[in-house]
Amino acid sequence: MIKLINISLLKFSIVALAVVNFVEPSFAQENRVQGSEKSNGKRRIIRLVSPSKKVQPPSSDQGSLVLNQLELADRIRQTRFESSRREADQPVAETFAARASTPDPAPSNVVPMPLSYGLGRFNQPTNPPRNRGVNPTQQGTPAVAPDEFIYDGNDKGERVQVDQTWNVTGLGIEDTIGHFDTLDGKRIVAPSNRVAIYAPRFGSVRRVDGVFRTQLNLPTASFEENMPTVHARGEDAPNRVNQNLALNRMDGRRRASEFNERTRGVLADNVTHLFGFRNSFEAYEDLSIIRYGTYAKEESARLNVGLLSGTVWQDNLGLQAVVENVSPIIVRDLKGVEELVSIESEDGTAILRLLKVASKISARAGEFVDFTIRFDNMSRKKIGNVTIMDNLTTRLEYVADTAECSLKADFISKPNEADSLTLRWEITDPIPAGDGGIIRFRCRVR
Amino acid sequence: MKLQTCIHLLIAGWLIFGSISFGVAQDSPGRHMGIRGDMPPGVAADMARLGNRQLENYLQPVQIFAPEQTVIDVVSNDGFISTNSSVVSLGMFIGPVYRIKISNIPLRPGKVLYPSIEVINKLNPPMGSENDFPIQVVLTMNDLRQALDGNFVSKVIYLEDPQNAVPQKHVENRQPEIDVNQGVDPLKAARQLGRPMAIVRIGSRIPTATDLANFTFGAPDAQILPAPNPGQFNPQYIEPVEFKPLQLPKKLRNDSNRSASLPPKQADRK
Repeated sequence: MIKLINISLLKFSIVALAVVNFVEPSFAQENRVQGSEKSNGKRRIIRLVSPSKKVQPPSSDQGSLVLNQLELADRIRQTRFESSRREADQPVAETFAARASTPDPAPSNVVPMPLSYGLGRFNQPTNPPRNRGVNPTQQGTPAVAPDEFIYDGNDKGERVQVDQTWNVTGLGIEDTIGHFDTLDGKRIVAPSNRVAIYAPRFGSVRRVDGVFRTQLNLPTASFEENMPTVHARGEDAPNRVNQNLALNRMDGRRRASEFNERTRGVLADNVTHLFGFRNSFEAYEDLSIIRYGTYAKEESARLNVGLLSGTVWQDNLGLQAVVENVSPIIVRDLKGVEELVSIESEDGTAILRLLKVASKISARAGEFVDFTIRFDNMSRKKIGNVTIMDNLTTRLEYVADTAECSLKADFISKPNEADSLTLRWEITDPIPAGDGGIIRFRCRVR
Repeated sequence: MKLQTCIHLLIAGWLIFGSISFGVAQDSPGRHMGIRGDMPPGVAADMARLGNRQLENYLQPVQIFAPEQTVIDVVSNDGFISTNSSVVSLGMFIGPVYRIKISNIPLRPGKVLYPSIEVINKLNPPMGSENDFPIQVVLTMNDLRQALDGNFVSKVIYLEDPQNAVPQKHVENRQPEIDVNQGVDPLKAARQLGRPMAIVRIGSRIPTATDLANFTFGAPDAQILPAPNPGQFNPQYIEPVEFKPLQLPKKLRNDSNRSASLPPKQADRK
């Protein structure tokens, strides 16, 4: 009997080890996090290293926390900056800097602020993970046919940075980020998760062939004709000379005695003060994590249903481990596309969490899609100058007058390089610790 | 004898592994190495199917939009049956070349055209909504006019790359269309814009009664599918909307009087 149990445990260990080795390393490396994962509803914990502590390079036994050179340099840079600030013994301010007027979203000569950092490094792997994301509802990069989807959210490509004058750099198409100020003068950028909507669109390339057209395309043979010169022109002497006259007046150059401020031509901003907010929830967004900002375990089944668009990207067959007298373990759960990001900070570092959901997982051209963004101050201190930005892709057309915000905010929309709009919500008041709000807007799929 | 056997084995291995590598090269969606747009009908689809096993026996919905007032007929039992509509959704396998018949063309009474459609790739929609996202083939009046004037129209329908999408508003029964000159491979041009999905050829040939079997390329009958329901809501979200006041639970917040919908306290304002 004992031998049988030992054999069963050995089988189970071998299968579990194989599953972990098969699934985990790529995930851990891609996201560079440490944390625990549960079988149903992946949970990812990001622990921020306190900038005041000395950064240690990862040891060899930290297999799941692999830092590349770039990230290590970034942390060391933050440490140096924090040390210099602490040496100055600067008192902690209780107010935030006044927000400047709406900046140009993509200035050309902006030097990124060295202290600008955020969670984007954690959420933007160089190669998007297959069938994994940070959204418990809809997210992911389909591995089979990414060209059939349109995306919105996250901070892919160049990392978004905001300098001291609120100039935003690196905001690419499809990016959704939020930036805010902390009481100690930091400006932090936090990306949202990525939403994928299945919306293929087709075009056509046409070629017309015909005998008539072929004849037209035949080039004309060269034609030469020697034309004799029929006219000779003699060289006549000039019969008129213009005399150069001296200037009869000289104006002195005076230096400018006053300087008028020159304002560059800027695009007119569509600034809207949002007053109304719909205090009810549609079915797609009626989730605890949207309503209260907390993930409810009992909604796992419903969230799993919301992953319908993601399941087609997965392999049809997942490994299954069956051990004697033990229920089968479906390994597919470990490869699920859902993931919940929870952020823990050692010293109460200010963190803004952005969660984005869409009303549909698929849409045809011309249909409307509602987006909801839940933002929360996850730290123990209040944050200010909170700004949420969404750079819409070409296929998404913002429907006018559909932007809402549960907090008092100014809404600004600007054309972007994708012939769509960059949406911007500037939250007027600071957000206390643990508090948050909701943003809604509607788009039409082109 | 041994040398001859070795040579034969080398040639056989080269042929086998060469064909395998060729198939692997075509495996990635959007790339059909060696396929040209001027190949005979059916060759491009066969080569695409050869490189991707997932295309075998896959019934791909195709929605055909013809100009208004026209009538589309489909092949059935070696003949054509009318759908009495200018918009029809058909289920087509990848490989065969399907014929349709377009009649009742405006301003061209009595004229009939027989376009052929060859599907060379498949879509990957969410499960259960395959019919809601068919390949859309739009035949314009200009296409029909060119064919009736004696020209041969080749159209490659491609899936647009969302990163390089044309920024234009959606207009029903219209899709971005690019004309290329003679000598330019439309399939190659379409591959630069996205993923080629189907090839449509429109000529002015009219079959004879004895030639109908060859005229339809021996393709199986296209299955008429129900029309897509573009306004269909996602099934997982069909549930009653519960209107609750936006009130935070006490255990989550220290201040039970604070609500996410309310502005911050006066003391927090700066």
